[in-house]
Amino acid sequence: MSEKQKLGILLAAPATSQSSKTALRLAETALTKKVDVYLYLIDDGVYNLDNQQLLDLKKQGMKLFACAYGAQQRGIPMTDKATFSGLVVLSDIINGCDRFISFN
Amino acid sequence: MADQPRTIVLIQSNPFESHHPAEALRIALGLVSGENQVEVILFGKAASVLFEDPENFKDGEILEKFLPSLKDWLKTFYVERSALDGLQPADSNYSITAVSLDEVADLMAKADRFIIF
Repeated sequence: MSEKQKLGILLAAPATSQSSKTALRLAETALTKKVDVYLYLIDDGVYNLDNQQLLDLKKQGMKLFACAYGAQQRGIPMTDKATFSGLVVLSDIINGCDRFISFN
Repeated sequence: MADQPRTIVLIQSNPFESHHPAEALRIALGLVSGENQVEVILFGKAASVLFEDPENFKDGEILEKFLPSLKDWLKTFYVERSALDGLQPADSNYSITAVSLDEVADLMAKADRFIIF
């Protein structure tokens, strides 16, 4: 049995943006196709932590990470909604995924 | 390291109006210090970060903090030639390689990952 494909997504835009909507639709479609999805929220992307659609995708198996520095700068509490981390995790996602795409 | 994907961080936002160039350079430093192969390409007003006092920019304190460190990790900053707009690479404190759009295309064709700000 072949190993599952891995898709990494970097999202730097807030939930109100078209980029966010496109990134989450892409993630949803990939999950439907049994692709492992790793989403890293950075910069204004951390505002998506209040986005119910994103939290639903996490429940469906999407691995969700958020930049701890970006959250701290914006006064966003570091709860268990995501794994808060530094750029080392982003580096790991970039290196470990078959495909990687960024949205801002 | 040779097996690591090559990542291009392409910065096109205006640092006088947006914090995105500072954030992009912070990300570039985070990646390159993790031993990733990273190349930074600057377009338009973004090239100004290599010439002007960081205080002139949005999130200038971030640029002031991270840009000198990034200089130690990167061989050069690629700047799209028209972005220099009369500026001389020799007048910068950073190593700059001016590149044409064709050369940018060549760099991108050799890369595996792209982060665009």
